[in-house]
Amino acid sequence: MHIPDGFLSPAVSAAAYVISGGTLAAGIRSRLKKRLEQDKIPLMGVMAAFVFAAQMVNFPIIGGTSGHLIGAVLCAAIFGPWTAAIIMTTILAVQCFIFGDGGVTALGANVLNMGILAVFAGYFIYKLFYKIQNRVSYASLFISSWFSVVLSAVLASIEISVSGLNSAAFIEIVKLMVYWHMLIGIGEGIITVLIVKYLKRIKPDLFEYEKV
Amino acid sequence: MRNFISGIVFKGILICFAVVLFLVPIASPNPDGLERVAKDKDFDKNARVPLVTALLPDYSVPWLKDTKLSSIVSGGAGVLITFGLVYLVGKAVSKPKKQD
Repeated sequence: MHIPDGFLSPAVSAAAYVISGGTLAAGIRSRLKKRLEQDKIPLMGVMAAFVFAAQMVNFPIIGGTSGHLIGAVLCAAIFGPWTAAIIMTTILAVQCFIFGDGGVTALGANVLNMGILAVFAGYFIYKLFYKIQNRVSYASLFISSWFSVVLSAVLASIEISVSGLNSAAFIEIVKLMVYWHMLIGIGEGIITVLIVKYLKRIKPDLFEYEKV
Repeated sequence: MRNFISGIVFKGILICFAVVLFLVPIASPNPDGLERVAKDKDFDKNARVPLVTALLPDYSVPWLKDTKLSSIVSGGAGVLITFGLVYLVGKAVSKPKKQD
């Protein structure tokens, strides 16, 4: 759901940039600089590259639409939310500036939706399950991944609607966005679970590392 | 540990390339969720040509035109660029290594 240039008003674009930028800056200062160990970096690079590649693989959805993995919960489950937010932001920036996927004016919003909200909301739900079940469960991964997609779609709808650059009613946009992304979220959930299954097989303690 | 990391990195990047080589060419051409809503609600026409000229616009290599090879090559480039940039960003935001 990379928002292109032309969908957001200058005010919404700027507000999103400020919120995203401020959040990331706070996270870097108060968490990452204090707790992110450098030995995580090669793995961060690989996961980021994988999420980038996976985001190119659109899967068809009933009704003539398609979706693709966002990867927010996948990254958060391995690295923790702040590290995942940095990873997602970097991917979004590469997509925006190198590939023209997502507008420059919309980068703040795209980061807010897919790099911050998807990550933190998804991770929050994932952690909640973990506290109750005391293990990494596929149900928790599926549900948190699904919510990460749907919630970021809701926020994108709000941004587009508040921008007022089109005549569609807010409720119409949100209804449709949520509808499609509820379906896309199923794909996100399935793909996330399959990838985690594979990763647990090749490196069982990957999900036990300290999360930042 | 070092060998393990470089092993995982090497294997991981290979997997990324495999995804680009085998899955990207068969990716669905259908519009994604947002594009679909924009089309149905008639605001897709608001989309502007990107304000910043992209190097590999729309995941294609300019001189390879709009072919599957174009997507594969640009995807492969994207894998390496993303790995490299996250590596650099990671170094910049992580805990500084203790100086002995």
